[in-house]
Parts: sequence; C-alpha cells; structure tokens
Amino acid sequence: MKGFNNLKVGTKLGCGFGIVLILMSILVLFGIKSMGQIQDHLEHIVKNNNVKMYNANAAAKAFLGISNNLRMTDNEAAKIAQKDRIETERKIYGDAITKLKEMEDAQEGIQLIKNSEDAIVPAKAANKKFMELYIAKKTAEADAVLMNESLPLTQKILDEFDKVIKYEQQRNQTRYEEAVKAYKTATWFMFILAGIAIALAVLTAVFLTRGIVRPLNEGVNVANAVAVGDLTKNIDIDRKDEIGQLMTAMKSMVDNIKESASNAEKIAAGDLSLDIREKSDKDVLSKSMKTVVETLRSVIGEARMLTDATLDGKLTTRGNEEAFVGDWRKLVVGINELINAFVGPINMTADYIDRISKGEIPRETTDSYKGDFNDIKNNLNTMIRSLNEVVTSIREAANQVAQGSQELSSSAQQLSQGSTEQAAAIEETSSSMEQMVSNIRQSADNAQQTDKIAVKSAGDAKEGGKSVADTVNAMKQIAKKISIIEEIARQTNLLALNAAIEAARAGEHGKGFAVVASGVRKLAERSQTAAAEISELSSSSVQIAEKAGEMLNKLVPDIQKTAELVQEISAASNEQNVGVEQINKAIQQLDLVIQQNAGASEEMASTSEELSAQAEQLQHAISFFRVDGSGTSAEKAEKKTVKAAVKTNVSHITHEKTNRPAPAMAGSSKVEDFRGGMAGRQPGQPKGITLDLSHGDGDGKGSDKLDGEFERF
Amino acid sequence: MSGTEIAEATQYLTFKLDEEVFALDVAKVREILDFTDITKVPQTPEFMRGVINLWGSVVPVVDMRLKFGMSKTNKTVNTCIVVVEVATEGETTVLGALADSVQEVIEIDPGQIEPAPRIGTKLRTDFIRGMGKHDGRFIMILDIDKVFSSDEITLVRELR
Repeated sequence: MKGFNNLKVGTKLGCGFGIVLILMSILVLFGIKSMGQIQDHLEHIVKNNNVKMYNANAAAKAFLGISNNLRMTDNEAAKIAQKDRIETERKIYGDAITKLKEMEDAQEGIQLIKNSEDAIVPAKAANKKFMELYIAKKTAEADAVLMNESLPLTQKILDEFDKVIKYEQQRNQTRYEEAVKAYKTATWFMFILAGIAIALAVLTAVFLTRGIVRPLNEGVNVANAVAVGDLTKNIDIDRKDEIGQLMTAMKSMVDNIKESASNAEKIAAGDLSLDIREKSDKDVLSKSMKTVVETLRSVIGEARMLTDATLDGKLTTRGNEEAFVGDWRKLVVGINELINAFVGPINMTADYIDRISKGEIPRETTDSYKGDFNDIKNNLNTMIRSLNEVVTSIREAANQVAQGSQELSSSAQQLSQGSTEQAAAIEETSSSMEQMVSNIRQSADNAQQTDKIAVKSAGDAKEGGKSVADTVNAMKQIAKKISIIEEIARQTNLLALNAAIEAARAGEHGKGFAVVASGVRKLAERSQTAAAEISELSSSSVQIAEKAGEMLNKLVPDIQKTAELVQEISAASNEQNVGVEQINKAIQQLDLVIQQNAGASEEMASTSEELSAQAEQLQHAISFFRVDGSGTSAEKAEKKTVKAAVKTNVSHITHEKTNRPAPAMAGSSKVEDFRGGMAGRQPGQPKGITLDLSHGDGDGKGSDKLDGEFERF
Repeated sequence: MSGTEIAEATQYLTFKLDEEVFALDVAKVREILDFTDITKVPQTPEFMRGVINLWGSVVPVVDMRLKFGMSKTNKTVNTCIVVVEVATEGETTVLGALADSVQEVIEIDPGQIEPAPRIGTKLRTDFIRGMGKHDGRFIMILDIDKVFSSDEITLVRELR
C-alpha cells in the first residue's frame, strides 16, 4: 500500500485504465471468435449441405424424369425427342452426382453417393434394354422389361438418393445444433467476463478515487484551517506523490506562518525583545513586524518617561509628539491630553482643600468639566454646600444646646421640689393604708368567729331535728298502745252487754247483776272515749312534731350556707389583707423611687450646667469656620435647620434669638409639659424620665410665666 | 200483734243497722259475739252469710242489712253477731244476725211504745212490734220470729 501510495497519480490512472482495457479486449476478441464459429456453421449449412441436398434432389428428379419419359408415346418423332430428353436428364444427374462427390468430405456421405452411383449402373442397363426392345417394337417385351427391371431399379436409385438427402438433412441439424451450442457458450462466457470486467473496473475506480480524493481532502482541511488562522493542524507526510509534495509545501508555509504568529503573540504578550529575521526580500510581513516592534519600544519608552514624571509629581512634563508619525503620534498626544485633563481638576481641588483647611469655606466653583471630572467638581461643590450647612447647623445646635441646658437646669429644680412634695403625700398615704390594714384584719377576725358560730348552730339544728324525729316515734308508739286500750274497752263493753243480757234473761234474780253490768259497761264506754281522745291528741302531736322536724331540717342548709358565706367573707378579708400589704410595699417602693427621682433631678441640674459649658466650647470650636457669602447660605441654612430640628428633637431657634429672652420664643422649653408628662404618665410609656423638649412650635400657653422663671437662672 | 202483748216493761237490746237503731227483746237474745270468720255455704241466698261454730254447734248467720234491703254489711271493729232464738211452728231455731254495732240493754216502758205505722216506711210492718221512744228518738222494736219467712227458716234448719 505504501508503495502504491508512492506511485505517481498518472501511473496509478494508467494501471487502472490498462486493466479495464485488457478486459475489454479479451471480451471483444472472444466475441469475434464466437461469432466466427457461428458464421462457419451457417456457411457450411447454406453453401455446402444445402447445395448437396439440392444436387441430390436434382439427380433424383432427373431419374424420375427418365423413368417417366421411357414410355410415353408411340410417335417416332416424339420417341427421338424423349430419347434426347433422357440424354439431357442423364447429363443433369451426372453433373449433380459429380458435384456431390466433389463437395462431400465425410466418409459416410461418400459411401452413400457411391451406393447411389452403384444403383444407377444396373438401371441404366435395364433402361437401355427397354429402349432397345421398345425401339425394336417389341412393345410387350419392352413393357415387361420396364415393369420388371427398370422401375424397381429406378425405385432403388431414388431410395439411395433419399438416404443421401436424409443424411444431409441430418448433417444440417448437427451443424445447427453446434452453432446454437457455440452461441450459448459464447453468451455465458461473455456474461461472466463482462461481470468480472465491470467489477474490476468499479473496484479500480473506487480505489483510485479514494487514493486521490482522501489526501486531497486532508490538504483542503489544512488549507481551510490556515485560512481561518488555525495553525494547530498537524500535517503528516507519508507519501511521495504529487499530493505528498503539495502537503510538504503547505507544511513549510504553515511553519512560516506559525513563526510569524508566535512573534505576533510575543508582541501581544508585551515581549519586545525578540529578533525578527526576514526570510527574503519580499517578506513584507516580517519587515512590518520589525518596524512595529521598534515603534512600540520607543512609544513605551515615552509613556514610561511620562508615568515616572507623573509619579514623581512633575505634572508639567509632556511627551514629545514630534518624534512619532500617524496614529502613534495621536497616542502620545492623547496621553498628553490625559495628563492635562487630570491635572486641571486636581489643581482646582487642591486649591479648595487648602482654603478649607485654613477655615475659609470658599464659594462653589463654576468651572466646567466633562464626565467624571464634572462629578469631582459637583462633589466638591456638594462638599462645600454640606460643609456650609453642617457648620451652620452645628452652630445653631450648639446655641440651642446651650439654651436647652439652662432650661433643663430649671426643670430639674422644679422636679426636685415636686419629688419632695410627693414624698410627703406618700407618707400620708402610707399611714392611711396602715389604718385600713388594721380595720381589714378586725373584719377578718369577726368573720372567722361568725363562721364558727354558724357551724355550731348547724350542728345544734341537726341534733334538734333528730330529737323531734325521736319524739314523733314515741308519739306513734303511744297511739299504738292507745288502740290496745280501745280494744280492751270494746271487749269489756261487749262482755258487759252479754252480762246485761244474761241478767235480763235471769229475770228478777238478775236485777242486781244487771246494775253491775250496766256500771261496767259505762266504765268501758268512758275508757273508750278517753282512749279515743288520747289517740286523737297523739296523732295531732305527731303532726306538729313532724312539722317541727321538717322546719329544723330546712334550717340546717340555710345555716350551712350562712357558714359558707361567712367563710368566703373571711377569705376575702384575708385576700384584702394581702392586697393591702402589697399596696403598702408598692408605696414603699414608690417612696424609694421618689427619693431617687429627687437625687436624679439634682444630678440632672449639675449635668445641665456641664452641658452648658460644653455647648459654649462647641460654639467656640465651630467659630473656626468662616462661612462664605452669608446671604444665600444663611437662607439655605434656615431651610436645612428645619430638618435638623426634626431629627435631633431640638427646637427650632435661630442663632440671633439665643441671647434674647423673648416671651414668644418658639423653642422655649416647657416645664409644664414636662410636669404633665410626669404626672399623667401613660402605662405604655417607657419607665424613667422622659424629657420632652420637642414641643418647639408651642402656642405660648403658660409659657410667659415659665419664661420668666427661665430668665432668672 | 196487740197492745196487751207489750203491756209490761221489758228489757231490749238495741243495735244499729246503718244509721237506724233497732231493738230486740232480750229474752230472744242468747249472746253477742265479735265478728269472727264465717264459713260460706254455697247454694244459699245472698243474705245467708254462712255458718259459725258456737260452743260446738253450727249456727247459721244472716245479714240483717241485706234482709232489710240495705247494702251488704262491711266488717268494722264494731261489727257483731247477735245470736237469737227464733220460734216458728213450735220450734226454736238459733241463728246469728249481723249488726253494724250493738248499743246497750235498755228498759222501755210499754207506754213509751207506739204501734208500728201502716204506711210510709220501706219495711214490711208485721215484723215490727212497735216504735219505742228512748232519749227523744224512735227505736224500731223487731219481732224476730216474723222477720224470716217459714221457707227461710227451713233453709236455716237444713243448714244445721
């Protein structure tokens, strides 16, 4: 394969086409040869066998004509004509046989023709005999000869010729079959050959095409990559044909470009120390690169010089523009302009800061700058403005603090006084509370005693109920016993009656007994009546006793309820006792707090003094700054002060008003408010003292008197 | 019945049926018993309450209230059986009469006895001997021998 690759493209193509051509030639030659064979067979059939058949037929036909002409007429003239005709026929078949002999080359055919010829000799003799007899007018004999000799012999000749014709037909058939065979063989062979030739041709074409197109594609890829600047493609050369040579040339080209690229890379990476060699006089790229490197070196040198100067603070140094041309010159000019652009605002800023450091706040600058430099200018202006405002604010704040601290002092005094009063009030409250405690305790004791009594009463009532129940039982027993007495009385009555009856039946003799019986009966009746009365009384007593029991039973829960209520009262009294003690404790704590408040208010007074001194110090310190342009900045300061007041909860007062104790002064601190804040402190407010000085815009209600107080401090 | 029959003072046993007071001649009364258990005899008229055992002999008991057309006697502590002797057709039959209560043995002067009224009472009058006055009120004095018809007495006798 390697060797094949090394072959030249022309050679390869020649080999391929040669193979195809050789195959085609073989095909054509074989075709021609096969066609020739078929042609031979055809020729033989047409020119040989057919002619032979014709001759054989002609000979046979001539014999038949002879036979027919032998006995036709009795006319003499006609006989002579017939004889001539027979002669002519004989000549025809003689020629035909001669031709047959000439043409026949096969032994079998020759034998058959010879057989025919052999058959002709006796027939000829017979015919001659018949002719002689016939001419001799021996018709009967002649007919006999004709019938018995000539005709069978003629038939034999015809048969022989028939054999010859059949033989020729057979030969024809054989030839035809051979031709067909040759045609079939040739067809098959040509098909196979053509197939092989086509396959070989296709293979060769594919192989050749691949051998040429693939390396060409590789070359095209490499060229494309180089065209888009990709030099990383590896070029392998493993062949020596024209494509190999092309690849070698491409490789050297890529190497050159690579070298240039690496040089450019180094320049791009900032390495200017490289040495660039020109490959030929026409190497414009290398030359230009060399020039670029040199120019860059000198530009960098200039830039470094300027940077060093700027770093050293020499802001007046500028680059040499004349030493450069084209855009290089523009670069240097640009650097110079850059330095100029920086230097202007820096100088201006430096000047302003210098002035501010000396306490003089300058007016805002009106110079115009561009972009971020303008921002610097704007920021500087903002700073000046802010500084102005800050200084003004601080000044005002200091004044306000000074004033506020004095007010604070007076408030603290009042607070102290209030605390003392509170302490006295608390003491009174405390003693009242103590009295209340003793009262509550007595109530609790009384309630407890009542409770005991109620419990005892409940027990007594219960016992009373039980006694009543016993009484009822006893009464019931009595009633029962009374009924026995009643029964006895009744029985006695009955006995007395019976006795009376007996006495009556006894007649005069029973008179005395009757009297006794009557007396007994009367006694019984009396005891019966008495028993009935007792029974009635006892039953009514039972009713009364039951009622009493019921009432006692009803009384018990009432007494118990009373006892419970009394216990509740006792518990409530105890709770009250505890609550009052807690209140007492709270009052004591309150007392403590009030004392602390008194101390705190004193401390506050001293702190306010200190605050006043510090405010003065602040005023002194801020007087260092002289605000430039009092007109506009004062107005601005006024506007800003409102914001400041809101933020710091310092009342809004202007600077000049500080020294004047004006009654309607807006920012006077309001001690009354403060007091109110202390007295009516809401539960939601934080613990401790809230100094509310924010009521700056007070409507002056009660402020006159307070301001008068304020003046005295 | 004639006024001579009651010419001499006689002692009577008074008893109550409902609210009315009746009297019987003491001579006809044998004794008074507490209301004890009565043995009911079947196939007897309703006023026949049954029989009791009196000192070993069988004594039939009749309900006087039923006999006199009142409601049946209810047992109370005062209910008594008055044992009487009934004389009919020369024979004396002892039987118990149920009374709501027995009062006393009294003596009524014949002058105090009025003949029984002919009309205006719900009772048949032939068995009333007379109306005795005592303590300002009338007492119906019964003739016990005529209270019961002879058939009834026969029935009572058969019971013994």
